Amino acid sequence: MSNADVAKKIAENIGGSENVQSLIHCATRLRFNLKDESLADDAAIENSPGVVGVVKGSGQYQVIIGPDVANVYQELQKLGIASKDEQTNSQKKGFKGTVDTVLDYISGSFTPVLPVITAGGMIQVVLSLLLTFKLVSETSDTYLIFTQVSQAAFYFIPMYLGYSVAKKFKIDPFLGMMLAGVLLIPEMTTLLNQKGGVSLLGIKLQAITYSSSVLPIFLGVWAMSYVDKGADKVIPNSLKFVLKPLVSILIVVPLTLIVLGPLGYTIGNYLAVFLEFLSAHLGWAAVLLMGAFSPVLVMTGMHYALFPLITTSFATNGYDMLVVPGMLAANMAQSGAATAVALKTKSSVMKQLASSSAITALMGVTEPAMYGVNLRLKKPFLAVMIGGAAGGLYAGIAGIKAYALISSVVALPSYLTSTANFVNAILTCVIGYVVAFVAAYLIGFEDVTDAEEQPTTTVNKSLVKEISLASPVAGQIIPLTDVNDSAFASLALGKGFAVIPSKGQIVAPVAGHVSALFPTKHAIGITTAEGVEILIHVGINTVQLEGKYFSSHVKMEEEITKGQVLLDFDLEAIKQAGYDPTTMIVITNTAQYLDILPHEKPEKALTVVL
Amino acid sequence: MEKKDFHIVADTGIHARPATLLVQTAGKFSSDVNLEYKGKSVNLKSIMGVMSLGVGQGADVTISAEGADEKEAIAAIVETMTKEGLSE
Repeated sequence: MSNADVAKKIAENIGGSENVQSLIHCATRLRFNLKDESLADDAAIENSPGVVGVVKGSGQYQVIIGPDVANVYQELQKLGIASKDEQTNSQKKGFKGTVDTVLDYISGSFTPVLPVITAGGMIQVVLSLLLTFKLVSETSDTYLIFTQVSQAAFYFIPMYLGYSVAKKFKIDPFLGMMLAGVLLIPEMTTLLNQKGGVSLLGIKLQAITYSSSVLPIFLGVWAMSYVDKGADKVIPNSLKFVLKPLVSILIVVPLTLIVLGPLGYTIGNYLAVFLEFLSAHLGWAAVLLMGAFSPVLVMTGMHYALFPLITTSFATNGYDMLVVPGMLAANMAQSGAATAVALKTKSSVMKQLASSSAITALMGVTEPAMYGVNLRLKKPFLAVMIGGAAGGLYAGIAGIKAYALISSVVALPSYLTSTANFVNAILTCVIGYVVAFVAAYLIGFEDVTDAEEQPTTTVNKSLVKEISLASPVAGQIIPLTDVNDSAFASLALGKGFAVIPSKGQIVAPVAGHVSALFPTKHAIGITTAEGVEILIHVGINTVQLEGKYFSSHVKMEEEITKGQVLLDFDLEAIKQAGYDPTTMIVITNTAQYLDILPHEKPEKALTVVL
Repeated sequence: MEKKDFHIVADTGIHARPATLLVQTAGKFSSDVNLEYKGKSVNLKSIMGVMSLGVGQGADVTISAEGADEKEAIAAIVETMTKEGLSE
């Protein structure tokens, strides 16, 4: 089913193009504002292949599509289903759009840093385990060294965020890191905290230690993104390379030290205080609420707003007692309710979906269980909230401490700081799961029939075949979406990856035969024995070079082995001619495969799941 | 069967971007759509197939469609060709 077909199906059932007031999309959903929601045929839309589900609420009619949403959105626009009333739309965008954008920036900035926080947290867990079992002493060198290893994760959080926030705001990540460096360099800490204080531009700076802080760098880099844009307009091209970083730093550093740093630091303190307040005054009730409502937060995307809160908690205390335990209970509840559905439903398709999604929910991936099963059948979702509340209640009373930001059974070992904490975490999982299971079983649901169900493709693990591609050229691997050519970046040619080449030689990423060789030699196609079609395209707009600087070493239809030299090109000459040499590697028959996964590793850059 | 000849005028020929557009256009129809160039015929619904021909500026190609919506398919391809300045 192509995106055009999915769009057509939605267009047919949305109640006519005149019913659509506005249409925007986020990462996975089409968000309609309809004049009359009753005109839309929910069941028909929900049962279309390519549609995961329909969610209604807060004046929006949301159709969950998945990662392909942008393409379906474009197809819908072609069909004339688009925002009609620009005025209302932009006003709506004004509020909703802003909330979405803010959430998107927060999640995009914090998610890449999670591995660091997890690593730091897990090392603390291992250390406390070793201490408990008296395998190391608190004064041993090993213990002291690894304590610092774990500290490095939290102390330098501004540094990691400096990179990821800058990347999210599309400015040079290293300037973001430099700003973090300004905040973290020990001499700066000494200066800021010295007796009598220190002044900049005649303004006395607040005495702050920025290590482990979260918000100051976020605000600083955010400001830098505006300075960067402004500088980009004002500074002439020839001077940009020298002047732009200088201007960025010269403007943003005082701004951060004087205003944004203290502001972020203060807000951060309030967040920590707020958390303490919740734990102190609401106690277990806070975790109970978290357990009950975190599915709703996830549904609305609001859980991203909790990232700064959790990160602050991890950075100041080393653990979290509210959000992660609550989510752990809620995730187990998703699984429990889905299990009940799997046992009770008479639809074989639903049985399959519910049982497989119950397992993925245990692993912490709850979207399939939530959207595909519990929310879709509505009543089991109530059971999820009951189960989450029960698990959260226990977690709150027992006071379990989470040291890693993962809410799944996989994360259970991270609760091993003490036997009691571990046992309580397990009990939290069991209670969340069992209560939700029983509740879902007792409350029941309106069963679906197989006739309504579209047959879904089931993937038998043993039948899944994969083909891996190595990078065909030396250099830095980047996401295809970052490429400066919309035909490739929009993935219209297919999924894949890109490389900023450091050497002018293309080798075969995989064995196969040459299935396309342009006369201009800047692009080559390879088809593998399995039929995977790979296009390697050197540079952007390099077709205009008409073969100059390129030479090929293979012929059309020639059988090639992995690593065989295919093309040579003069990298420097191409750059000097004013062309971007970024090389794109795309699977042109992407639609025929289950999935195509980029890994950003030279020896295994891409996996095609057959 | 519907057939139509095109004289390619775009200076880059039918390269990555135009090839994608043509393939996307052809993909909307259920008919079999083929592109013929220098006696070789390929499926117009495959990017790699189209690119394998290496159609350059000044080339003469024939596009044929066979199936229930063959007329619409050819009409849509003519539109894409003109809109993208591939052919006149």
